[in-house]
This record gives sequence, structure tokens and C-alpha cells, in this order.
Amino acid sequence: MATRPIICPYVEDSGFRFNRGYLVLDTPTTNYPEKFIRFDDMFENITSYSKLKIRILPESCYLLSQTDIADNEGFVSFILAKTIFPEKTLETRKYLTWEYQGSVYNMGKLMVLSGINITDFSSESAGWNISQPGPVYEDGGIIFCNPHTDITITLEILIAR
Amino acid sequence: MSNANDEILNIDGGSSSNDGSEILGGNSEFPLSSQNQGGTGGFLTNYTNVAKVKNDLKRINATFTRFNDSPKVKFIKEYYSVVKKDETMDKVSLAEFFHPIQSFSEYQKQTIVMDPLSTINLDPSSFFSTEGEVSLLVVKAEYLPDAEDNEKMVFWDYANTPRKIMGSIMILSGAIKNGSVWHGWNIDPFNTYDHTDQPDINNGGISFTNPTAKSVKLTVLTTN
Repeated sequence: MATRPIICPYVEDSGFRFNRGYLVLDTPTTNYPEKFIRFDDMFENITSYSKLKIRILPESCYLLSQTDIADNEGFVSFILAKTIFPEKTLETRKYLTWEYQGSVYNMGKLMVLSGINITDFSSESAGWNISQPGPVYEDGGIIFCNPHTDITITLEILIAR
Repeated sequence: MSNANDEILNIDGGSSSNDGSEILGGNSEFPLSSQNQGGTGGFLTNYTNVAKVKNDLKRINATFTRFNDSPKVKFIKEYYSVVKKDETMDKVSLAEFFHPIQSFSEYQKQTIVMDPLSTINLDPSSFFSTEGEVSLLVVKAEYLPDAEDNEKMVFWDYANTPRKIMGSIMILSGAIKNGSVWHGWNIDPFNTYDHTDQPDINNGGISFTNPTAKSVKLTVLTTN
């Protein structure tokens, strides 16, 4: 039985990646990539969490709402979303959109949002509201949309309060 | 040969089969401690047998140093993990995350210390090839050790959208693309390439506001 051919030299692009607790700039010329931002000294105290894996079909949307994880006001303190695109997808097509409180934003491969629910100086609540939108909680939830006509996107989401 | 675990130990500091005994307290003439002032009363001890042999002892999953630890979301190696004491309850791997540097790519890392009750505009750098847009924006906030939980926050404004909040970390991303049709984040609030006009949040740009009475350090990485 034939074995898989090994292609030499092993060629890999430079780019940012996570390595041993840091965001580093990895280049094929060094074993010790330059460290840019330390991540392993950060943590968020939580009381509850939820992890989801979602498949968004072409030209479809998904409403992220986790009212039961959120606090009484509908807020959470940590949202992580990671996208998984089909293997052969070009870098220029690795994006989707997310809508929060009426505004639409872009997202590539990763999004991390944090922030506790507080009452700011104008006495309005601030935080990440992912409650089910409706008469009780207005402006809640995040809508992820796949704008592509031929790509199915998988989303891995971690939510914590 | 007998098993050591079956040995009758009566683990209670005494024997529950007998009545308790009185331990006398000290007084000013017979102190318990070397200090000869003050007196205490006697007290009666009652033993409760918690285990007769070693195997009866209930094993609990705790150590004294981490007994009161609350669950956390923590970054460990290449994973965002949900941990409770020493147990990893769930995790999301970022090991395969890779943001390639292209021929047109530039990046900039800035460190900013924000005064209390102040606002700063993120420096838009010179991402000319992508007309001011970036495809990766990582912001880390470090707060003073004496900051209370409700002081560990920063507000951020993007273009002309509602104000949003940030705790210790924020990562925003978009597609990696050259040219003018973009799917990233426009961090340039200027109309002119040489940035001689006044910044206008309606054009784009990100500003950070520290609403607390304590300084905050921000580390920001932007790349297109």
C-alpha cells in the first residue's frame, strides 16, 4: 500500500496564531515566534456557561439567544465565536456578518467579546444582551448571517455569564 | 496478612463509644497560655465517629488553596477553557486559528495608558492598501489590582453604531482582502490620506472610553 508523499521543503505562510498562551507572529524561519499579546494571564469569573455548535447554510441566518444563561437583564459577560469554513475556501471569502442592536458588522474566523453588565452613568444598562428579542427584552440576541451562496459555515460559540 | 485499610482507627480524635470528657479552661492563676491574664471556662467535648477504617473516609475533590475558586473562562495554551478548580469542564480550541500575512499586509501594535474618565481614538496607522480597513483587531485591557469588578470595563465606539462594552479582551476579525471592497473593520476616521482633516466617527474609526476613576492600559494589535 502506497504511503502519502512528503513534500519538501515544507512551506507555510507567516501569520498570527496562538501559541502557548500568547498571540504570536509565526514565520517559517524561526522556532521561537515573536510574542505580541499575552493571553494566559486573563480570566473571567463566571456563574454559568453554554457551548454551541451551529451550521449555517448558504444565505441563511441564525439568531443567537440564550436567555437562560443571561442575567435578569438579559446580559452575558463573555462571547466567543469561532468559524469553521470548508477546507478549500479562499481567504478572501472567509467572512460572515453579525447583527447586534440594529447594526451589522463583519466577522472572519474569530470573535471574542467581553464586558460585565453594569449600569453606566446615564443609568442605562450596558453589556452584551443575548436574550430572546421580544416585548420583555428589546434589542436582544445576535444574528449571524452567511452571505455566501455556496459555502456552509460552522460556528462554535462559547457564552458565559 | 491484614489489610492496613481495614485497621480499626476510629477517626474522630477520640472514641464515640464513650462519653465526652471535660477539658478544663484556664484562669488567672492557671492560664492555658503563657500570658497570665484573662480566664476561660471549661467545655465538654463530644466525639462523632466519622470513619472507623481508612476506606470509610469520604474523598472530596478539593484542596485548601483552591477550595473557594469560582468557575472561570481562562485561556490555557491554545484553548479557551471553562475551568472549575482543577477540572476543565469545556473548551474551544484556537490552535487552528491562523491569520496569514499577505504581500499587502501591514500590522501595528500600540500600547495606551488611558487616564480616568478619558477617551482616545485608536491610531488608524496607514493601512493604505486596504483603504483604512483591518481584518484583525485584538485589544487587551489591563486594570489596576485594586480595581473593583465594576471598574474593569472600557466602552468602545465604532463608526456610527451604538456604544459597546469591553472587559479584559476583545477580538474582531474580517476577511483578508486587498482593494476597496472589504469585509473587515474600518478604523480610519479621516477623509484624507494625509489625515489633515478632523476625525469623524461617521467615516469609521474606533474610540475607547474609560468611564472609571482608575487608569487602564490597552494593548491593541491591528493588521490588514
